[in-house]
Amino acid sequence: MPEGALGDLKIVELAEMVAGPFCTKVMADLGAEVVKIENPRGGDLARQRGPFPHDQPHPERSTLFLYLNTNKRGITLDVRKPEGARLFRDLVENADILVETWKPGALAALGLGYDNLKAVNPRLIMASLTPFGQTGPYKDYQAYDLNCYQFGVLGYETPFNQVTDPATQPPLKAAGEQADCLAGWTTATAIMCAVHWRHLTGAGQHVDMAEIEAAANMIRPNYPFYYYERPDGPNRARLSKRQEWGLPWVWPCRDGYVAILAITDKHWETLKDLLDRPEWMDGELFKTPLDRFMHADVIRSLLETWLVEHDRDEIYKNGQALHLPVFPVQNLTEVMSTRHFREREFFVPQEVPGAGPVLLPGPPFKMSLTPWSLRRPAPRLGQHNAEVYGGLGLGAVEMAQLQEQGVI
Amino acid sequence: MTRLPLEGIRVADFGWILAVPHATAWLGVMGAEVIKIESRQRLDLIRILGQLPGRPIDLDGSAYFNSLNFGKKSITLNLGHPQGAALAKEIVRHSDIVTENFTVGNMQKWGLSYNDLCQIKSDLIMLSGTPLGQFGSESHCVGWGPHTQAYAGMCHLTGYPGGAPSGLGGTWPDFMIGVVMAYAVLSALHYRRRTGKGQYIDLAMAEVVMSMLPEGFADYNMNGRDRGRRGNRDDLMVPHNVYRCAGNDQWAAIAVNSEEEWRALCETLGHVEWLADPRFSDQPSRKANEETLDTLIETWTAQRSPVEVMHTLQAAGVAATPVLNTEGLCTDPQFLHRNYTVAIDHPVTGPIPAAGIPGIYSALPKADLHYTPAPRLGQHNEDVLGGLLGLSAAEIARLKEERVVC
Repeated sequence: MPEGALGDLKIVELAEMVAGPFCTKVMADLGAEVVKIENPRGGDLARQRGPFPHDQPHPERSTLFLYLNTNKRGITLDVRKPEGARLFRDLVENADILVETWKPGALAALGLGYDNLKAVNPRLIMASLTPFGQTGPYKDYQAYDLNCYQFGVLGYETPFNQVTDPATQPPLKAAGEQADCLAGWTTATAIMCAVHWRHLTGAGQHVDMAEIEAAANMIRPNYPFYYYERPDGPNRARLSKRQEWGLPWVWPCRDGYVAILAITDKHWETLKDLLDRPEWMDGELFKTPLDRFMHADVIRSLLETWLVEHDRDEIYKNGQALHLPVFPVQNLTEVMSTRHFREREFFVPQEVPGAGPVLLPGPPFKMSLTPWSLRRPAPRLGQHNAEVYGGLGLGAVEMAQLQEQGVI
Repeated sequence: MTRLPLEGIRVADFGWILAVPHATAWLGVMGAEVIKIESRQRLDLIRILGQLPGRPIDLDGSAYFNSLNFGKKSITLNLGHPQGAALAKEIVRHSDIVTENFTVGNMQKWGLSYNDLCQIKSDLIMLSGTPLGQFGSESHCVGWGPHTQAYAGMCHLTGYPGGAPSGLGGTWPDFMIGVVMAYAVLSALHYRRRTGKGQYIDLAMAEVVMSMLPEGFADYNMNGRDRGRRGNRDDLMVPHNVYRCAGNDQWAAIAVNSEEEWRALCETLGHVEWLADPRFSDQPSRKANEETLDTLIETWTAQRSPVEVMHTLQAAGVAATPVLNTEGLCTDPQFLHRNYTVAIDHPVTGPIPAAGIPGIYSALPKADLHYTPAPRLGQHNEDVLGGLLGLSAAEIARLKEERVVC
């Protein structure tokens, strides 16, 4: 098997649930050697979340955990105990990168803050990922995926332009843990910047990542729109309202839903062709993109009238033949049977104890020389204790003592 | 002077609209020399959107474009003209990275595919980002980022219970995928620093979206269950919802995971009796009576502002946050304290704050990052064609006349 793109990087992970483990997963899947630290009392909370085979909870059978921790080795360690802190320092001394998601200041209180660790390993890149970051008035506040998605304005814009009655339709979260996964990607990218800086300078650094910033980074256009629409201007209200914001892009049709986005003049003309050039589309109200934005409500009802008389796959096929950006809204049965994804071998069988191989998402992008690879399944709790602690020079007797003391 | 992580790295950036421009803004801010190759023939749509209100359209005056293209240079090349494509190739010869997000086949048509380009630059890293990737029976389809969440199952799984499939905010997944693209390129560059070898990256936006939905696909493929749309609810956490607050369209998000947090919530709301109430005494009971519990919580939140809900519950250790709208975001003390935005003084639009690159880097002070104003269209034609490729002023003038540079 060829070496991965990140095959020379050693990472220590002190994190649980989704955001931190997703960050190190995407690096491990590109070849990085990750040692995941779990507490000896049950380990990562994601082990309790499932989905489980036949809905039977079991700490080694959570598909969320198994997915988020592919290609990692796992050890148990109680970093809060003095002996645990010493072992942690030893691990970090030999690592390139530490990813941690503890509350701000919690590691420093144990003598394991960036300044302490830098003294042990000046080349260390330490990434601290928390909901609000290491500084600021809310730094000690708690937040889960739901909170970060909503605090970062993404929730306010979801469902996008589909809110008909704001009084009964609250801001909505996305499926899964999108803010957490996004924070994982964002942290991995930030870490790679620090890795490149280390190539030049030989020195490590501390990356302070806030999940809310990763989320706010997704609504970049809102900043300029807010600032140049003066407080008393007509358009700012638009950004503070969830309805009448323009055209949605998820539309009902006769037998399902389609996604259509025809913003440009070119695509508006193509849409006319798809609808067989009805007279209303040539009206004065719809001449420019701005006109169409201003009269979105009129378009909405007229276009919907046509769509609900046509079938989804026909709209998709005929629209794409005209180069109109249109796609079907697919359910999971349809996604799994999409020939295109099978041809690209996107879903990859991954072993789930108690269920056998289960098709789960594979490479998020394809690298021609250093492909994404599944080298080992997620670790069982403490699976690699002997191997990792042995590598630090600990003998069997010492390990047994540490286990007795609840350190590992 | 702080050294930046990507100093000495040159990017020939054929990207447009949102995803690739976001990726290359990140690379530019981190010190790469990003040459944005655009033209009047195929204008980056974002140069037209987001114009200052009440002014005639100015291709250099979109604060939206400017907030996404800082840290770059701009040249204008007509790639449909053989000489334009040849000049683009010359730029690639002097570059380390190529990024593009045209419809599949366009780069090939212009003689700018990876196979063409790695002939002239053997260790080139090239990223192509498209809705469905470079191969496969639907790869010819045209679309924007948001379409890919529909195709990938994301919309099917997002929405109010019993309601329609829903699109995500923030033109998801465009900006998210920009981050992933930057990550992919930085990883390939790391490999090249070690081995001297470049490579090609084929990114399908729909696949990135699916890689972030493990639970939906696991449940379906393992248990045969399509979990459908669940609003703001969680599989386990309860309460876990968005609650109405005092005022018009004001909301707060509250999520409770542990028994400790549940106790703190009950105490703070003044309802310790809930702890002993059989409807709520343990997590499965609360899950079974979630509607009732949500209604009770909302009678408390409805009398308070979202910010008050946050401070009151967070003081007790409960994860509660306001649902911010844009105004809330731009005035929020936490974002302001962390100095998340950058106000780059642009010659046309002035210093309008824009979202920065997330994170605070101890060795890379924000003031030293390469947050230069977004380029005017073709601003660096002379700089790049003359300085990098060595063309004379007369030659550049001729290229302009012949509409190769335009």
